[in-house]
Amino acid sequence: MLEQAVVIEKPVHIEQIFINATPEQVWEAITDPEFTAQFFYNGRVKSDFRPGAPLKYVDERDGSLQIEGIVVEADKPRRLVLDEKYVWAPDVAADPVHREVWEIEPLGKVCKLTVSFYEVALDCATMRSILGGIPLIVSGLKTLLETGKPLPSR
Amino acid sequence: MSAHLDEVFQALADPTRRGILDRLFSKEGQTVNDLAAAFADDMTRYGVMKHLGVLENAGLVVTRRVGREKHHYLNPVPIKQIHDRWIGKYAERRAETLVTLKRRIEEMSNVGAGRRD
Repeated sequence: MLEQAVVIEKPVHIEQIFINATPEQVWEAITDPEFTAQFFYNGRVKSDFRPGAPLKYVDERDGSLQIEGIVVEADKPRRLVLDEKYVWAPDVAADPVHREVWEIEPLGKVCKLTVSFYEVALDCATMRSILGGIPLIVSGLKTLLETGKPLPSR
Repeated sequence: MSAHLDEVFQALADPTRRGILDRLFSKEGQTVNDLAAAFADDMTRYGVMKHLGVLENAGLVVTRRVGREKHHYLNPVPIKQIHDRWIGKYAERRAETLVTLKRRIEEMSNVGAGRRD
């Protein structure tokens, strides 16, 4: 079992996007493998999303493990706290477990998705992956929910 | 979406606000006091707060309150949206042009090589 991240209160990084969808739709998109495979670097999420449950992202193309973690908190459809270790390459796998908080807030007809990162060193492979990858993931999620189609792959 | 990008462009049009974003890029989670100290020579604390408000409305800055402190973070997502909408497609066309040019030159040099043989 993965060790839990030791969390101080201030995030190291935050990303936010507005999505024209309901909180339930956003929750479903981030917790259903059929959806995540379309915007999460081909990763199928595997978890029952109950506190304490294991969490995995598996590359649907070759079955390799991309991320392993545990669900710390799950308040459907508003808040998901995940402790994760990226394991797709040796450099990220060498970094300690970090925490991600996914928050979904309804705001009129749209909702605001905020992803906050805790316990990540500023200059490490995991942080570089977050800065490079999360904007693509949340934009892909927005496009998928708003148009029904994934972002074109590059 | 496009109305939102208007706000992003307006927020980015000001050099001081771009300066604030650069500051947050180099160190995330700064308080108004941190930023006001960094820009003390150029503007008042009130000025910094006003610019932060514009950046926050445009979604370029996201704040998180921890205890009594409010921390400011640079949100890269709107910049990525601008990139996808306004830069990516032109850059792609340019890249395509270069690829076409490369192919033409190679074809020409092959023709040339053929003549020499």
